[in-house]
Amino acid sequence: MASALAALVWPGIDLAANRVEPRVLGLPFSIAWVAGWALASCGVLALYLALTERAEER
Amino acid sequence: MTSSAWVIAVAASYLALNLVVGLWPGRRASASAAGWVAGDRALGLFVMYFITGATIFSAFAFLGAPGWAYERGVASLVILAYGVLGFLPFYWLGPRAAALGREHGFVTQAEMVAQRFDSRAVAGWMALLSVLAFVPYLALQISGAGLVVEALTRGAVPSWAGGLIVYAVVTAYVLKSGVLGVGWTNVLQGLFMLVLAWVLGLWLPWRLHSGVGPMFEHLRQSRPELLVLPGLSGGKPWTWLGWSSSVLVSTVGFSAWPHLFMKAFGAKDGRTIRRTVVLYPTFQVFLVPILLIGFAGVGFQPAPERADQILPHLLMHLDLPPVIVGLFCAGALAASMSSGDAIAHAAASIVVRDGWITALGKRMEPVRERAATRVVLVVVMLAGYALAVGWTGTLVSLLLKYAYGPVAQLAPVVWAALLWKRATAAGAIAGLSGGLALNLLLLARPELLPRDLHPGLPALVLNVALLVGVSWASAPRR
Repeated sequence: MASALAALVWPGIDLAANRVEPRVLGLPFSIAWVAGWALASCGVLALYLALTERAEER
Repeated sequence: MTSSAWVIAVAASYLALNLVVGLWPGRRASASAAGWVAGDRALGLFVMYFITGATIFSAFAFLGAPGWAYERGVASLVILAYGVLGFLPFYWLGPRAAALGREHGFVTQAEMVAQRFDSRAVAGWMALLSVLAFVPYLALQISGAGLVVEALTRGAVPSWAGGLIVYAVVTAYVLKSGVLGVGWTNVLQGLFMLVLAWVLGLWLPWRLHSGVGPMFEHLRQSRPELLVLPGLSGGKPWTWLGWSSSVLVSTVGFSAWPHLFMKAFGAKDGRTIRRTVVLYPTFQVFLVPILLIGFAGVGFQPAPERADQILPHLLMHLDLPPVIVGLFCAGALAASMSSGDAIAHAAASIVVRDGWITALGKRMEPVRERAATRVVLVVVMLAGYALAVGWTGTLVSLLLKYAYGPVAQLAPVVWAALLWKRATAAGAIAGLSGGLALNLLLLARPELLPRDLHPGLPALVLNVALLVGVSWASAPRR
């Protein structure tokens, strides 16, 4: 969560994603960056959920 | 049939479908408040996903968000950014709240906090604050629905009548089925919004610019400033201070919205809540096609009068088949209704549970409580409707200023109640009232702030400082 926050407020987003190129599926990089973080947070959290639940079962 | 008649026919069948889907589950719910407010704590992942997703996407999503992209360019990504971050804390908060709710029979946020701090005053404060934020929020949904109906019937149905018809349907299914009605209609409304957003978001750039890629190529040449972060504000470049403080305040405020938080009490178990949070960002991604709609409208002639009319404006000027326009109309109504029903339902539950029962200490039988909540629901609906019809200023600005900032002030108290054992009632009240007072002061006197700083942020800092400071200074609870 901390890394997602850092990537979506200043200065992270300005340094990493304030540009149009490279395009992702025709979208400017900045838009793809924010949308990518949405998907990434879903993936990371799903992994965390799977790991903690497996640990709880043991 | 004339084209207006087709539009009305499609939208009316959609409303009728909503009514059926909304009334059906009420036949199974128990006759208690726990049945009406929290769905007997049995909501599964599928319904929870759509409730939380569709609740957040209000009339603002189909009207305001494309308007932002159209007028302010990539500044509109703020909405997506805080949406991604805002629900994450719920992964930890939600299951704790659900466990406490099951143990003690809570169905509202303030009830839980009041028990934790052993203080009725906290519940009263929270109830008051929530309802004050809810009525303008509801009014916005009602007038949004009315405007959509008016625009797409080319004035054949005036907005006051449109809002009245749509919200009569909402009132009927919420009255009958409570949160189960909200849940199953939100599934329908959520699916509708998702499909419509992707179809329109990909089709409009294709129709107007022959594709998403060429559209942005065109924008980069004609309006490059729209694509530079953090975008524009009032026609001038926005500041990173504005962007970052907006993301922070909205992220904190997001999970504290009482109508969203309450849904933790309706979930079947903690696992369901965790899975809902994990899947939630997939719903957020649908903001991307919504924003594409706004970008597609840049440079369109004739230009709309106001930025937030861009989507209905485009649809009306593209000579579409009336059935498509009718479907859009239904989708926009879905966005309005899926938030409006949850807001009205939460506001009524909060007035009765937190205001009357918890804060004022009145006792009530479960069946009478359910009846009283229904009466209050109608009153809340009428208040929202009156404000929607009577208000002539810009409602969106009213909402963003007077609802989101104050609601964020609830967050520290809720978090502390669940996560920090040393927090005391005195600390909670000091934080809440201090934060709210500073927020209102800064709204009234914006010149006290650096340019673009969100007034909710200094208020939140004061809120947390008071909560921690006063809690340490006051005697801990035994």
